[in-house]
Amino acid sequence: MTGVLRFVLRDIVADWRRSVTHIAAIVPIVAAYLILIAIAGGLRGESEEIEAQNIVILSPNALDPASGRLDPAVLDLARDIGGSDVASATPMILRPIRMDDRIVQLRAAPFITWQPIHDLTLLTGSWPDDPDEVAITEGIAIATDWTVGTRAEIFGTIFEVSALVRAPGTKFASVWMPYDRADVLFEGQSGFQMVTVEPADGTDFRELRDRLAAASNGQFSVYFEAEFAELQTARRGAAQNLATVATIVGIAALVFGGFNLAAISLAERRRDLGIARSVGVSRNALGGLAVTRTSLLAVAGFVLGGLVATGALAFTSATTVRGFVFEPEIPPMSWVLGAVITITVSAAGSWLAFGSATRSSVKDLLETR
Amino acid sequence: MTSDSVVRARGLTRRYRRGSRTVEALRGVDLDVEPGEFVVIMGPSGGGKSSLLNLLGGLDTPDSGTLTVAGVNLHSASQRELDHFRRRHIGFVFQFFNLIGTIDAADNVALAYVARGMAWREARSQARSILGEFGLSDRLDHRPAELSGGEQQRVAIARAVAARPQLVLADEPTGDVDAVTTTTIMELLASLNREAGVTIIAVTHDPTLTGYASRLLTLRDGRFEA
Repeated sequence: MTGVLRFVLRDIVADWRRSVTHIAAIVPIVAAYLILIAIAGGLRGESEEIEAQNIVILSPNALDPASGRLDPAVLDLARDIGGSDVASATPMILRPIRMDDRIVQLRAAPFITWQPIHDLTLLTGSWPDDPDEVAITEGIAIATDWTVGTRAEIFGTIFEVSALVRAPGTKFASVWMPYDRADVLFEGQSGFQMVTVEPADGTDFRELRDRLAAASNGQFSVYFEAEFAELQTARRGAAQNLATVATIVGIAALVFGGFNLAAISLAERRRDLGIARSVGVSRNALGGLAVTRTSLLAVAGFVLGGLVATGALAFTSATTVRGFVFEPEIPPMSWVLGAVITITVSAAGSWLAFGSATRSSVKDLLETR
Repeated sequence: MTSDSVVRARGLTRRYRRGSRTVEALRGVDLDVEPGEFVVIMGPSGGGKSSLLNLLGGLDTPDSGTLTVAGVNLHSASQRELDHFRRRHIGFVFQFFNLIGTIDAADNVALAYVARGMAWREARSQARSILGEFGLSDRLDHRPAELSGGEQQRVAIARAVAARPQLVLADEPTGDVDAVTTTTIMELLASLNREAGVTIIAVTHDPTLTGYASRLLTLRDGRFEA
């Protein structure tokens, strides 16, 4: 076996132009496959499901609530319509902000609502009690490597992260600030983008939501918070499905590319096949050499393609997208799958192409120019 | 003809399609070759010499007729049987050498041993030994492109006789070398015939080679001349 490998390696080195071309053709296919896999798996979801039946009121453009602005009167309207069925109705500022050159989602709600209504759970540090302190969620920590004690500039002011918290649903990746502090920071210009309505105990949640929706008159949209989270999750799912389709395309490219490369490589060496067969090398033995050669080139192509993909992804830092974390990375199983596909398909392609090439008589193979 | 004939051909025909027309390369050839003969086949280009050699070596199959070489019925042999036949009984020497360009001289010869089931390491050792006998000890690691025409043909002959075949088929073996090298090549083939008893069938245009033949045949228009 080592003799066969040495022979094939010598042939690969001696025929270096064709070998380099073969490997160079595999590299972008492998790199594209791995990058697509990384993108497809890059969107991370929320940390846990929402159980409470809070109701959220958003501007009609619910797909991007941060871009809207609710009429301040909505807050009173919600309280009036809900009456005793509403335990509380509180505003929330939802705003994309630049924080240390990263765009992240800021959520500002009255501090007293953070735990009972928004289900924030303190993981490390302490709740903000200084005007220039904020809390960050796990999603932000993953995307930025920020932690308790990190200082970063928001809207011209330096803030310190005092708490790392866990947040459910669409809040998974966000920076939290008390509402009054945010209102001061933005000089009242921001308004608020969401009202969270906490139903009173024993209230029929659905009936309350319908009542609020009936009063909207097209000025706002009303969702259960969990329902809105599902809507956002569905959007993420759609993006992932698209990336999955792209991944399948990548795998298909890997399959057809591997086969065609092997076929072309063998077609160019029909005369060598004829020479070997004229001295009596059996088709099986010759096929074994061809498969070994192609497989070694496939391994080299996969390693280089993997390096290219890793290099490309190294320049893509994790980021957050509307409450989700986008952190492209190649799962270990995808490395294994990619290697198996690359080598298996190249070997199979080589074998099939070899079978096709050697169907001709030895005389015809020898006469190939 | 005897029952020990190396070659026995009866009524061999071979036709090729050349575009829209059919060329009859061989038109009912009969041939018997006994062990130890050195047969030289002459004749004009297109007379069917190479076609006959291809059939005798199992590189191609006849359209009709019967052909037995080294006891193997080639007209009914499968590809696997033809592989085995070439491996065990035949050595080829081609006009343009037909060496694999990406591997060195030793590996080109080693390929013939490997085909017979020898391990690569041992095959390469045997190849070095036989190339040494052919005066190529200092050219073992050279690829064909780095060798002269005469050296390439000596490598090709070494490959052809590597596994001691019964029959060596030489198609214009001196067609691509100079006069001095021609003598070297033919002396080499003659000594193999004389000393090792290898049966040789060579086709050529060159009339100076007839002196090496134990029998001279002329093939014209797909038939042997009487």
